[in-house]
Amino acid sequence: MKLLTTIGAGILTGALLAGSAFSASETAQSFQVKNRFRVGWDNNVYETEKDTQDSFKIIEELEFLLNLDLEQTFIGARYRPTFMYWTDRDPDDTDFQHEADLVFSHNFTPRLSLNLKETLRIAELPELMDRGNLARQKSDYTYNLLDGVFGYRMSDATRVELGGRYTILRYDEKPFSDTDDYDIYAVGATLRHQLQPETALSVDLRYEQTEYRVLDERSSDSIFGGVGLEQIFSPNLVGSIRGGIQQKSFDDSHIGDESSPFGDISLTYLPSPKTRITGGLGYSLFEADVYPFASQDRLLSYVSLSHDLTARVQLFLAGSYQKSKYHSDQALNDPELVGIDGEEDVVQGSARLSYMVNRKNYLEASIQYMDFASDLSQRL
Amino acid sequence: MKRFFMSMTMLAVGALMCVGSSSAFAAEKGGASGASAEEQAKLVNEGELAQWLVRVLGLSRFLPASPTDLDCFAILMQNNIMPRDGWSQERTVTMGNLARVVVLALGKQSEVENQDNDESWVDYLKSSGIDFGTIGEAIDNLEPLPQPVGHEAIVISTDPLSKLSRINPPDNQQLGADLSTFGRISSRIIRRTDLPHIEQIIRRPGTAPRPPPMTPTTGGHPGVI
Repeated sequence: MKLLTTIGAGILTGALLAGSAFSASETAQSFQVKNRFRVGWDNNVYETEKDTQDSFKIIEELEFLLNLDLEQTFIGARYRPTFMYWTDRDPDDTDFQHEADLVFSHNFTPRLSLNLKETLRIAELPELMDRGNLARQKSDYTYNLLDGVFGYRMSDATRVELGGRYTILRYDEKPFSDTDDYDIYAVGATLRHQLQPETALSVDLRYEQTEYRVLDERSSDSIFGGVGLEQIFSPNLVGSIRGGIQQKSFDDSHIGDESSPFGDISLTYLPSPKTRITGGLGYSLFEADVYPFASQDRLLSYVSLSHDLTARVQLFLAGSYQKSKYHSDQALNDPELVGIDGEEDVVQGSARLSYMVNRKNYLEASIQYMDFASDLSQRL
Repeated sequence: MKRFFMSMTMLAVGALMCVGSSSAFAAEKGGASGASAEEQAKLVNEGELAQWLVRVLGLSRFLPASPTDLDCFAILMQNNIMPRDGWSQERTVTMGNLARVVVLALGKQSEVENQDNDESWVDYLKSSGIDFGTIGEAIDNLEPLPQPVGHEAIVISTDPLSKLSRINPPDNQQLGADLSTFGRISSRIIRRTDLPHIEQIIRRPGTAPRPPPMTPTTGGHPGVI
């Protein structure tokens, strides 16, 4: 925890000092404080398969935003504390969480740039129920993600990027800290070429290492090789597709290596000036949510629609579907859980209506729906 | 293995910085010696404008650290900000399109009378006291969007350098609609054999208390058989 705090504070302070070192005359600054009060309804606050518990929720968010736009450098900082209250979520009906984001972008020369992104989350996962029983209670966590990318423009059409990412997840309490605390290191290179004004191609190579701090048997290394295509199909339709092969090696000798294709596709379509539709689908091996598994095959998809009913009233709809497959040969060698495998499905839907009183004040109402089904619980 | 990759990355970054510096120096030198004024005064294209806009409008946090132009186009479209004929990576920014995206980013589009005419967008900005001759001056009038939308809860990217982890605060939204990142994370699977031994906390509707079962009697005084 101390390490995370030090990293986050160091990066934020360093970026702000670097920003202030530039000439004030070249600086465009903006500082905003925003307040947001939300009321919503959630049909399944414990994320259970059966005996779902619904609740109204009240969310109060404060947001502090700072932008420094310098001649060659941009710094954007954001901090948002949030208080949440559920009317019917025993035994813990409140959450207090923190989100901080920092974006740093600097052009060393017209060709060479550095982009850094720091993401810090201190929050709590909601209680998780299984057949009416508490499967997860104390789950306060700290999550920190540091991204960095050097980009070099070789020509007007061709660009090469070298990137790195360091992710930390720490739970405050056992048993989650024993099984789920991890560090993830990732590095990679991308070569991107603008084939035509509407079409860009890319090839990339990635290496990722996932290290669980205590339960080291869940750790793994992965190498990814991928190609991507970005396309502007028409003025109101853009999309991208990326795919390739992933080779994953687990630290636990009991679990064999795994090769799998991965891919994702995403589309954004504006059928009219008042309507926006976005959808996407991705498939890959992913970190396992459930102990004792070391990996899952995850299919994740979503579609969303937003529509301006009037100049002041907006409607937002979103739905998502996730399928997770857990294989017995990717489970740790736990004698009590030998041979267990299965699938889990999550369907979510949401609607929000927003009325703009003025540019700084909005009234909102939302409903949220979740349906969860698991083979794993049925088989145990 | 990890050290090897980290070392290679450091070396590559160092080499890139050296190459970048020397190339830029050569370009500046050439520009000073013989390039025309037109070449030196490079016009800004819509790809560069989009990169600028996502930072100023506070949309960067929804995107990877180094977003592509198309990443920027997509999220600007999701926030209803686009030039008249859509985004194009290489098209030079015109005054009409610049005025249009600035007005859209300010959320004032309903106040523009003739929206098919580029001049109307420029005139609207001038009538609002926003005068601009360059893109920088126009951007200076912008602030982070009051309610930006983006991919927070569900990110389908499979790229280790841009994917979303499996964890996220529960109040997040997906392009404006409340949606949670499903947090199945659990240190154990509950088995049927565990069920009687662990805490039950879901409050189901209680059943009305029943009277205790009556003891059958054969008659006479209670308790006397």
